[in-house]
Amino acid sequence: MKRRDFLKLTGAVSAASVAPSVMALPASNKNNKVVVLVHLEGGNDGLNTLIPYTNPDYYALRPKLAIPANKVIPLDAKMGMHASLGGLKPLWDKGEMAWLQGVGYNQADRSHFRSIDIWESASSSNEYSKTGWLSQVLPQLTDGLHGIVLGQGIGPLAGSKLNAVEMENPKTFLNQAKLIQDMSYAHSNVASMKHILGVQNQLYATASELSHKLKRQIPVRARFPKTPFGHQMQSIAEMIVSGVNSPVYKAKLSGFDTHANQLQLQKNSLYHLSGVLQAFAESMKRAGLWNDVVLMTYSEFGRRAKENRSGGTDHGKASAHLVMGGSINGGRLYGKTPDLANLDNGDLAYSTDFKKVYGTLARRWWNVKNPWQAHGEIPFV
Amino acid sequence: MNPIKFSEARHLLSRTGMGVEWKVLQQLINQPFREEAVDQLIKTYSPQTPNPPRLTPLYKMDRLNKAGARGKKVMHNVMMRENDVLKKWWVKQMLITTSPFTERMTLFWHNHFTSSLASVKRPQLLLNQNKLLRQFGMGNFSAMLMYLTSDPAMLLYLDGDKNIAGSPNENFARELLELFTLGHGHYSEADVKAAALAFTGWGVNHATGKFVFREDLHDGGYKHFLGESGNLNGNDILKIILKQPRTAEHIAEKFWKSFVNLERPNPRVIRQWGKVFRESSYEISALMSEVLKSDVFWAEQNRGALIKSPIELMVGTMRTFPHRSLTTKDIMHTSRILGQDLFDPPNVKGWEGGKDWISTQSLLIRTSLQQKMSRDANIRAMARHFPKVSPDVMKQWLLPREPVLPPQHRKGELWYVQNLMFDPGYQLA
Repeated sequence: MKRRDFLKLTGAVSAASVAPSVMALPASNKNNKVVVLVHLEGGNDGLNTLIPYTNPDYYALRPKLAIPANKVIPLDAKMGMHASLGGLKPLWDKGEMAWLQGVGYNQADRSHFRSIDIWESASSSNEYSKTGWLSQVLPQLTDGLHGIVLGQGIGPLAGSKLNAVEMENPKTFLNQAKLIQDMSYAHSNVASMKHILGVQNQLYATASELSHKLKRQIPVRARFPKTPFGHQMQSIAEMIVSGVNSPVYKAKLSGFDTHANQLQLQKNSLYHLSGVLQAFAESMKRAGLWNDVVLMTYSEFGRRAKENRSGGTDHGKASAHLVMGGSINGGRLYGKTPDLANLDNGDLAYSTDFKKVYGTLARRWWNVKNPWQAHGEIPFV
Repeated sequence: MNPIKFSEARHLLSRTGMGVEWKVLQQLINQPFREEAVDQLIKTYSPQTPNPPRLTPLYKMDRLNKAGARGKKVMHNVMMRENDVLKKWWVKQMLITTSPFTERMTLFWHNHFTSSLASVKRPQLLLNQNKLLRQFGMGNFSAMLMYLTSDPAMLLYLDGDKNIAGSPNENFARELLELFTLGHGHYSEADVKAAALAFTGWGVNHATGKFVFREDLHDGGYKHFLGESGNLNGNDILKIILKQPRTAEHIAEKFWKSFVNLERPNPRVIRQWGKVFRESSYEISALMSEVLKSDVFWAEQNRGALIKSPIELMVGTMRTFPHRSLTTKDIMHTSRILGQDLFDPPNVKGWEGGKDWISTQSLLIRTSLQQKMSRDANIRAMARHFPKVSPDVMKQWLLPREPVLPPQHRKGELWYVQNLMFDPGYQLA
């Protein structure tokens, strides 16, 4: 007996629904424009990342932690970057990188978990949502693969409307996915079974796409630091270069929760970030894909304006974030520089809602409807 | 009365136990009728807490907590260690108990009256709460509500202890109405505020871990709540809540989602179950019996209509095939990775369950887990406990519905059972 007939007979599958044996993935992303999200885990101190190095208030708030003006990489007459980000200066100079200032949201929550949920789901402070912000954007773009998360944290790609997978790296994923069988022919009227089959098909289709594209993997022509974050970003570069069709990738760098000993910790973390991002930009340029990629950082929150007594800073509100890519209108600072003379309860007040950044990516990058239109857009791309 | 079939006994067991043990299945089939099988099942419930672990007494934790930075650090280490002790203890009970129904119900109530180790930070208090859940799990819901609302873990978890006259904290009152009793949309914001005032002064003695009522912090003023008025206190609020038909219906809806189908409940059935529950003066066993004897519970379309939680999947497999393919520690870790960290639900709503259990990540992990549990050495050991029955009966035993993948028998029984375990239907209950 043929497999199909058997299934018909057992009633597990309705005959009408027998689909081709491989789900039609990728139903290609209309414009091949990629966004790479980098989560700076812990809450990066924006004030010591993008530094108001001529502002006396800054030095008054941070007697121990302020970065001396002569160590800052000046970007304009008022703002400069932490010296550890020096490797990114050439990108800034070429107009391929920009800073977004004062990014945050109304009624900020100081819990790591809550705040990252709010960022990743684009919900408001008093609203609980478990679907990622990208589920309001990506289904407009493609019904194929939506995103790949390196490491853990499906956050911005969570939700039943998205085809997204989390993986340590593509090799391990493909190994695990070998156990996943093709179920695209099966169909069920029972909601529980329908759901499982749907998820299984997503896995199967993603694995097919990856194994197909990575069979002839094109090596990246850049040297990535041999760290977990370096490996994640290298994997992302490899997938992009090899033609894997995913509009979003996400990676994570930890170590930004600097309650104590911040000078050393943040110096190392930013240096690490800079090294990996340089390699990533290099790999994209060499593959001729830099114009098709936008990378942005995000974090739970910024940190308090005033330093604490342990040589660190505690959880705060708004922060600065960077965007980079060949199509970025870069070499510019966007948004209002936080006013250190008018703090919000000791925190940098937010002036740019993060949803404005998301909306910009939706409308100006992917050219689809902006679900957060009321917040407006930023011309960084 | 309806005579019980093999597939029905299997259905009852997979919904109310942990796994489908062949021996228990045989006992159920020996009951002439479904109704008797249900009665017998409910009788297996045990309100006692089996071998609770010994944890550091609360007064010691409190003393450490007050002993500066070093004391706090020691306390933290004790807490982290004992969190795991507590989790492993529960996993072990689920594995060895002779009344899996009790564990299943305790897990159900843990997901209703939620509290978490992460936020309460006192494993002993979570153990005490677990004892209460067991004590009342098949008892009287009004009594359960009274005890759980004044439970120290609950008061700490929902900031009830911070709710004081002049500076009310609405967290507890809101969740009481929204999640524990009436359900969203069946009360007003003013009701939340009034309830919060009525509960002011309820607190916890940190050294003894006992409930205290602090008269001086209680707002004794006049309040309006759900159409009633007076100098209402917390107990008055609970009594008013219990008069509302919605309370019983809200619990009935949770029973539907946990025991019948993960999809939206049928409102007519819910009204009926709510009525039975109320008329029994909130005897949980009356509701349970009504649910399990209802036509909708047995209906063909509701077979396999639930998705196994990580605990059900792992503990269930290990009870179905009595072989130690996973350790209690494995189960504790893997259930956390799969999204069901015992004593640590993600928030006050508890685990969403249903479709939420299966995402691309969790399905990969579940599949690898399945492979680990059914790899050669394990499945050979399991095979010693296989019943001597036909492949067809084997299939009916292990899956709630016809398999999606046609299982192959020609390569032998082990291969056949592995096939059944890898069928998507194995994830269903």
